[in-house]
Amino acid sequence: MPSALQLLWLLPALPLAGFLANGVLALRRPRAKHAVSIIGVGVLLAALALAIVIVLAFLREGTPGPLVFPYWEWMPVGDLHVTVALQLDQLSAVMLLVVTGVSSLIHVFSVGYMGEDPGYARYFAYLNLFVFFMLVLVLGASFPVMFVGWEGVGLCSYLLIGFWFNERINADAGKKAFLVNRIGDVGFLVAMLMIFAHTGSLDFQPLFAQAPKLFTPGGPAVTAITLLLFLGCTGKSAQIPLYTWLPDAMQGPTPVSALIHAATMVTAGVYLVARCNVLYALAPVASAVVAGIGALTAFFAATIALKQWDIKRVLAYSTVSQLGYMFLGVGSGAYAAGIFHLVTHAFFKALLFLGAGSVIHALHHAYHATHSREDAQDMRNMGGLARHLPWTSTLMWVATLAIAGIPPFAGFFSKDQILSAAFSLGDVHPLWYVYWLLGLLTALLTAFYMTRLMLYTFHGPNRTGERESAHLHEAPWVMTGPLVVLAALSLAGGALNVPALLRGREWLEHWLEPVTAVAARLRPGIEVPHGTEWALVIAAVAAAGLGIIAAVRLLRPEELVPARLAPAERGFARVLWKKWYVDEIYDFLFVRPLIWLSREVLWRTIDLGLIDGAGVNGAARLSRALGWIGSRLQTGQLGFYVVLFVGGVLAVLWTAVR
Amino acid sequence: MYARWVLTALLVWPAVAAVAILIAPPRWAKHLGFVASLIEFAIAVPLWWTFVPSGGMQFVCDAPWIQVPLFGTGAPWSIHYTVGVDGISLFMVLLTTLLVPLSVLGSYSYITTRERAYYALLLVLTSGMIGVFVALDLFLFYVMWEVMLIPMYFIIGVWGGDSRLYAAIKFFIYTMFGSLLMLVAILALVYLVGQRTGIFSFDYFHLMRNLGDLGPLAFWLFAAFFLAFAIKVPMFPFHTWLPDAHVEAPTAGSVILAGILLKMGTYGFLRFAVPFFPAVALAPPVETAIVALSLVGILYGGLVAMVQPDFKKLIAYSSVAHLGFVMLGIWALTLQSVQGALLVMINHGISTGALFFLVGMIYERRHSRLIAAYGGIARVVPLFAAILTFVSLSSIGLPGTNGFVGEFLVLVGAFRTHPVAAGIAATGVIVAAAYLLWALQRVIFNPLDKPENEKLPDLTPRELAVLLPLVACIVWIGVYPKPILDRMEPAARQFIESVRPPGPTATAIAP
Amino acid sequence: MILDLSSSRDLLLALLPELVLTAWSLVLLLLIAWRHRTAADLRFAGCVTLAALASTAGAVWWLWWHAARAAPTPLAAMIAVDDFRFVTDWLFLGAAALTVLLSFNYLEREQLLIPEYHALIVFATLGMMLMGGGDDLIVVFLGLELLSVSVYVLAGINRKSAAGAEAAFKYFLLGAFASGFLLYGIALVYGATGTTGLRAIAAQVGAGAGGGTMLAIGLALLLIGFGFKVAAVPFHMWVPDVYDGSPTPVTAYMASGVKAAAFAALFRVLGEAFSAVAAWHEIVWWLAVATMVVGNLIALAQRAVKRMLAYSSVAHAGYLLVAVAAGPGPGSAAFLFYLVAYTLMTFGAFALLAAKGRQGERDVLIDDLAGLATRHPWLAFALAVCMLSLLGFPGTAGFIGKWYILAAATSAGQGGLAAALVLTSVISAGYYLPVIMAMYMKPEPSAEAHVGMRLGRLGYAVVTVCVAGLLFFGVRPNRLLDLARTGGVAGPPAPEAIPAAPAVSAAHAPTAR
Repeated sequence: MPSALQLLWLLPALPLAGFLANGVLALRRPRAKHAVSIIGVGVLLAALALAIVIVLAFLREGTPGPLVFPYWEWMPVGDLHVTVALQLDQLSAVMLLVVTGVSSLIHVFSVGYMGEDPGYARYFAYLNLFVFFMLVLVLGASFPVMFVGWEGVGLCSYLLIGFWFNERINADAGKKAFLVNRIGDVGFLVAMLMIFAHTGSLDFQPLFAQAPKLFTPGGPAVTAITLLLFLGCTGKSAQIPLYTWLPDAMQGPTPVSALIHAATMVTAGVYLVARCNVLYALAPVASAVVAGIGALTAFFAATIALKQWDIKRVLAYSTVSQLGYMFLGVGSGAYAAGIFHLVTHAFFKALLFLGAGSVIHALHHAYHATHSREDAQDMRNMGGLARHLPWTSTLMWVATLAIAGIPPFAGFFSKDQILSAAFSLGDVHPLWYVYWLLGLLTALLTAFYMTRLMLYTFHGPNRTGERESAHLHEAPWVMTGPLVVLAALSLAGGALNVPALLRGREWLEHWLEPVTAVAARLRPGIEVPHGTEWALVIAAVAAAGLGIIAAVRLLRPEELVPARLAPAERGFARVLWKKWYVDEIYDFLFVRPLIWLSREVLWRTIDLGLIDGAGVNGAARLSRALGWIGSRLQTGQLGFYVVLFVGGVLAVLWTAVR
Repeated sequence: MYARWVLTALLVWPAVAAVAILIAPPRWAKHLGFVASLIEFAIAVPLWWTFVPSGGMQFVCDAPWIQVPLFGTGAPWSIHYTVGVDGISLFMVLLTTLLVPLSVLGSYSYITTRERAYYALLLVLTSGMIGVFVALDLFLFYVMWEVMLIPMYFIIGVWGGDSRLYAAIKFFIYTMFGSLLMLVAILALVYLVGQRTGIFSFDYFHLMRNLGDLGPLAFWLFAAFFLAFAIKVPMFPFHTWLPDAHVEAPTAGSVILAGILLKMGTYGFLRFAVPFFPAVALAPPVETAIVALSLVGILYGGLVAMVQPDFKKLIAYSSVAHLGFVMLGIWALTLQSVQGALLVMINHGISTGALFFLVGMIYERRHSRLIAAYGGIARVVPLFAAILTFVSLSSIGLPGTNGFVGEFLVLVGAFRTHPVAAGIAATGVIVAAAYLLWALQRVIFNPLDKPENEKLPDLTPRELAVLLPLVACIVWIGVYPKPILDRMEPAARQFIESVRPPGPTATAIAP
Repeated sequence: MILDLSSSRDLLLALLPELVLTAWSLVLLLLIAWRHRTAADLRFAGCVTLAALASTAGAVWWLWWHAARAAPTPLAAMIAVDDFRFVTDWLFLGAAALTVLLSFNYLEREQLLIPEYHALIVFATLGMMLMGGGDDLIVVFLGLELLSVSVYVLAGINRKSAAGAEAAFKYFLLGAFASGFLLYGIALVYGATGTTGLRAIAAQVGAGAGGGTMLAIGLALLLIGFGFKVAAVPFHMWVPDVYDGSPTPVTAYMASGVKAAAFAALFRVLGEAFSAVAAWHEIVWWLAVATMVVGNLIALAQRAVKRMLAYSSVAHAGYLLVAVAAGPGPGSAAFLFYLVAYTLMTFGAFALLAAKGRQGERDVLIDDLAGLATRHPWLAFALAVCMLSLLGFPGTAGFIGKWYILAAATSAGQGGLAAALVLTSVISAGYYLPVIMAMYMKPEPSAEAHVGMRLGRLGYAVVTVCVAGLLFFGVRPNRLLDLARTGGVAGPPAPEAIPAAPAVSAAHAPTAR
C-alpha cells in the first residue's frame, strides 16, 4: 500500500497541531499575528495538499472497499470494541477535498477579514480546531469516532458563533446552537446504543456489510435507528424542527458562517445519511421522512428568506433551504445527487457568504470611518454597491445564478438531479410528487430571494449615506482571491456529475458507486423516460427563470429607505419577516415552561419546600418542639413528679400482671 | 514488602504527618501538608504498576484487632484489621491520593486562619477516606466511614461560609443517621452468619461466602445499607445535605466532598450492599425503584442545577445528576455499564473537583459565588476562562473528554438491560449542556458590565499547578482510557457474576 | 480459693473490702471530729479518703487475685463472691476516687469547708459495694439505703445554696417514696418464694413455686425501685433538678457511681433470681425505649450545659436498660464496659464544667463555651472528646461501649431496641455537637470570656486520665472487654433462649409490637 495513504492520520493531526500552537499564542502572545496567520493558514494548505496526494493515491490504489486504519483501542469493554480508526473511501474522499479545499480558501479570506480583530489568534485556533473535528467526522471509521467529530464541530461552532462573546446576543446565539445541536445529538447517541444492542458492533465496515442480514427491511429496529440518526441530522443540518439555531448563528464572523454554517458542518447530516445509506435503504419509511422533512424545510425556509433584510440572514435561510434539497435527494435514494448538491452548494454558498462578507467589510469600514452606528448587514443600508465593489458583485452574481439553478452553473445540475430523483419515485407513492412540487416551488423562491438580495445590495441607488459612500471600496486581494476561486468552482462544479441526459459521464455517480452499491441493490432507482426528464429539466429552469424575472419586475430598489427610517413590516410580510414566529413559539412552549418548572416546582417547592423544609428540617424542628414540651413538664413541682411517678407505677404493674 | 505494607502506610502516614503539622510552627503548616500529601501520592502511585488486574484482592494485610468472646454465643467475635484493594477500590485510592495534594495546594491562599488545624484535619480525612476504600473488615469499614465525618465536619464548620454551622451539623447528622442503621445491620449480619457458621467474624469475605439466604430479614438489612449509602451518594431524595455542605465548605472541602466522599456511597453499593443482598437489590420492585430514582437524580439534579443562582450550588446539584449515572450503571449490571459507572466515579472526581477549584479561585478574587456577580470576564482572565470552558465541556460529556467515555459506557451497557431508562438518561446530556453552558455564558461571556470585574488577575502559576494535572487526566481518560478499563474489568466482571450468573443480557448478538 | 461462707473466718475474708472501708470510715470520722476547720483539714480528709479507697481496692484485688469463690452452701449466702462484684467494686471505688480528686479544688473554691463530705462519700461507696455484692435482697436494700442517705446529704451539702437544699429535699422525698416500692417488692417476692436470697429465689422459681401474679407484682415493684435510682423514664423527674442543684462533683458521682450501683444490683437480681421469669422483659423493653426517647428529646431542648448533661445521663440510662433487656449474661458484660467508658466521659465533662463555672455552673450555657478552642485548646479538645464519646463516636470508648450493647441486643434478638438506640443516638448528636460547635466554630464573645477557667493540678489529672482512657479504650478495648466478659454475672444466659434469625424482627413480643 502506498505510503501516502499511511499518512491519513496526519490530515486531522495538522489542524490539531495548528489549534494547539495558535491556542497557546492566543493565551500568551495574542499580538503575534504573523505567526498566527502562518500557522493557521499553513496547516490548512498543508492539509489540502496532503488530502489531494492521498486521494490521488487512493485513485491509483483503485480499491473499491474502504481502507480502514486502526490506531488504538479506545473503549474496549467486554464485547464492546471501540477503536480509534480512520477510514478512507470514495465518499470520505469527496468530503475530504471539499472540507480541506473550502476551509483553506476561507482561512485565507479570514486573514484579511479578521485582520484588525484583537481575538485574531483565538479565531484561528478555533478555526483550526473546527477543521480537525470536521476531518475526524468525515474520516471516522465508526459511529463513536464520527460522534467525536460530530460534537466537536458543534463545539467549534458554539465557540465561533459566540466569538465576540462580550455581546449578549452573540453568546446567546452560540448557546442556542449548542443546545439545539445537543438535542439532535441525543438522537445520534441513542441510535448508537440501539445499533450496538442489535448488532454488537459500531464500526461502519462490518456493520454496513452485515446490515441486510441483521435487520429485517422496514423493520421497527432499523426504522427507529435511522429516524434517531436523522434527528441528529435535523440538529446538525438545521432541518425542521431544529433549524432555528442556524439563522442566529449568523452572529459569528462572516467567514465562519461561510465555512461552518454553509459549506461544511451543516452538511454533516447529509453526509451521515449518505454514509448510512444501507440502513436508510433498509428503512423506506425513514427515507420518506428524511425526504419529506427536507422538502418541507426547503420550502419553509425559502419563504422566510423572502422578507429578511439582514443580508446574512437571507443567506442563512437559503442555506437551510438548500440543505433541505440535499435531504430530499438522499431521502429519495439519490445519494450521489445529494452529495453532489452538497459539493456544489459548498462552492456557491461559501462564495455568497464571503461576498456578503466583503460587502459587510466595506460597509463596516465606511461606518467606522464616519463613526456612525448603522447596521452594516442590513440590505436597506446598501444598494448600488456594484460601483464600489465590482469584483464582489460580479462574483456574487455567478453564485446567484448557480444557486438559482441556471444552466450551466453548478447548482443547475445538482438541483435538477435531486428533483428528478424525487419525481421518479412518484409512481411508488404519490407523496413524492408533492415533494417534487415543493422542490420546484423552492427553486422559484430561491431564484426570487437571491435576485432580491443582489438587487438591493448591488443595484439601484446607494443608501449607505453620502459621507459613508466615499469610504466604500473593494476588499483586499486576500479576500477577493478566494472569491475568484470559488466562483470558478461554482461555474464549473457541475462538470463533476453531468447527467447522461446531457451526454455526461455522471462521474461522481460512478465514483460513489462502491459506497452506495448495497443500497442501490436494495432500492434500485427508477428510470424515467427521457421525455419526462427533459420536461423536468425545463420545468426547473423555467421556475428559476421565473423567479429571477419576477424579482426584477416586482422589486423597486429605488423605493427603499435606509434601515433607521424604514417603517415596520405589516401583514403577512411581517409574519415572514418574523420567521413565522417559530422562535417565539418554541420559547413559549418549551423554554419558559422548563425554566419555570425547574425553578418554581422542582427547586423551590420540592427541594427546598418538601424534602428539606418539611422533611429534614421538619424532623429537626419536631424533635426540638417535643423536647421543649418535655422540658416544660419539668415544673419543679414535687407533687406533679409524684403523679407521674405513680402513673409510671401503674403502667408497670399493668404490664407485669397482664 | 511494598505489597504487604503499602495500604497500611497509606493509612498511617497522613495521620502521622497530621501530628507533625500540629506541633510544627504554623507558617510551615501548608508546606508540610503539601509535602506530606505528595509523599502519600508517591506511596500510592506504584500501585498502578504492581496491581495485577486479574488478581482479585491484592496488597492484603490482615492482623487481629479486637477479639470479643461474646458471652452466650460462645465463639469470639473477631474483628480484624484487614485491608486490600481490587480493581474497584484501586482507582478510588489513586483518586484520593491525587486530589488531596491538589486540595492542599489549592488551599494555600484560601485558608488564612488556624492553618495547622486545617491541614492536619485534611490529612486525617485522607486517612479516613483511604480506610473506607481499603477496609475489608466491616467493623474497620464502619469505623473509617464514621471517622472521616469529624474532619469534614470541622473543615466545613470552621473554615466554611456564612451559614457553615447549619451546613456542618446537617451534613453530620444526615450521614450519621444513615450509617448508624448500617451499624445495626452489620451486627445483625455478623450474628446471623455467626449463628450459621459458628464464626462471628466481621471479615468481608467470610460474610460474603456464608450469607446464604436470609429470608425476609434480608430486605431490612439491605434497606439499612441502602439508606447509609444512598445518603452519601446522594440519591434523590436524600440529597439535600449536599448543596449546603458543598456551598459552605471551603474549596478543598468541596473538592474532596464531591471528588471522594460521594464515591463512598456508590463504592458501598458496589462492595457491600449489592453483593451481600443481590436477591433484594435485583428484586423487580427494588430494582425498578432504584433505577427510577437514578433517572430522577439525573434529570432532576440537572434541571435544578440549571436555575441555581449560586455557582457552587449548581455544581452540587450537577453532582446529583452525575451520580445518577453511576447508580444506573451499577444497577444495569452489564460489564459496560458497571465499568462505565466506575469511570464516571473517577471522572466526576476529576471534573467536578476541577470545577470547584475554579470556582474557589474566582471566589478568592471576588468573594462572591453568585453567577450574577460575574459576566464577560473571559476578556480579563482568558486562561481561567479557557480552563473553565474545557472542564465544563468534560463535565457535560463532550466526546474526547473523560466525561463522554464514562457516560457512553454506562448508556451502552444500560441500554441492553434497561433500554427505556437508558433512553431517558441520555436526555440528561441535554440538561447537562443547558445548565453548564448557561452558567458559563453568564460568568465568562456576556458584557463585562461590572466594574469590579475589570481588574481581576488571571490564574497564578500555583493555581495552574493545581488545575493542569486534572486537565491532563481529563484528556488522558477521554482519549485513552484503556489502561484503566483493563485494570477494572476483572473486578467489574467478578462483581456482576457475584450478583448474577452470566445470563443472556451479558452476551451480544455480535455479527 | 474457695470460701466456705458458713465459716465465719471465710465470711470475714469474703467481706474483707467492705470491712476495710468501714474501718477507714470510722477512722475518718474520728479525724474529722477534731479537724474540721480549715481548708487544710479538708485536704487532709480528702487524702485519707483516697488512702481508704486505695487500700479497699487493694483488698478487692487480693480477693480477685486468689480467684475467691463461694463454696456452694445449703443456707443462702448473703454476699456474692464473684468477678462481677470485684469489677463493680473497682468501678465504684474508682468513681469515688475521681470524685474526691475533683472535690479538692471545688470545695475550696465554693468555700464548702465540710470534711464530712468525704466521710459521706466513703459511706456511699460502701453502700454501693454492698449493692453490687449483695446476694440477698435485704443486703441489696441495706446497701441502697446506706448509699441513698449519704447521697441525700451530699446533694444538699452546700447549705448556702437554695438550689442545693431543694435538690436534696426532692431527692430525699422521692427517694424515700421509691425505697418504699422497693421494700414492698422485696416483701411480695418473699411472700411468693419464701426467701430473699437471690439464688434461693431462682431455685424456687425454677421449682415453679410462687404464684405468678404476686411474684410478678413484686418483681415489678423491684423494677420501679431500681428504675428510680437509675433514672428510668418516667421515674426520672428528680434527675434534672437534683443533678442541677447538687455540687458538680456530687452530680458526677451520682451520674456515674450511684447509677452504676443501681444497675449492678439490678443485673444481679434479674440475673441470679429472676432470669427465668419472663415478666420483666417487656417492662424493661418499654422502660428502655421511653428513657432513650424522652431523655434525648428533652436534652435537645436544653441550653444550660449541666441540665443538658443531666438529661443525657437519663438517655444513657436508657442505653444501659437496653443492655439489661439483652439479658443479664451478655448485658452485664456490655454494661460493665459501658460503665467504665461512661464514668470516664461523665467525669471528664463535669470536671470541665466545674472548672468553667464560677459560683454556679448551673448558669453555664452551651454558648458560653464559644471560642474556648482558641483560648484553652487542650480543655476544648478534652471536652470535645468527651462529647464525641458520649455521642458514641468511633475512636472513643463510648463507641465501643455502644457497639457492645448493640451487639448484645442484636444477638439477643432485640433488633428493635438496637434500632431505637441508634436512632435516638442520632438525636443526641443534636445536643452534643453544639457544644463542639460553640467551642470551635463560634467566635469568642469577649476577650475575658474564659478568664478564670481553671481546674487545678488534680483537675487536670482527672481530665487527662479520662480523655486518655476514652481514646485508648476506643482503639484498643481488648483487655477491658475481656475483663467485662469475665465479670459478667453468672446465671443462665438469656440469649440462647431466643431463636436466632427471625428473632431480630419477630421473636420478642414487645419487639413485634
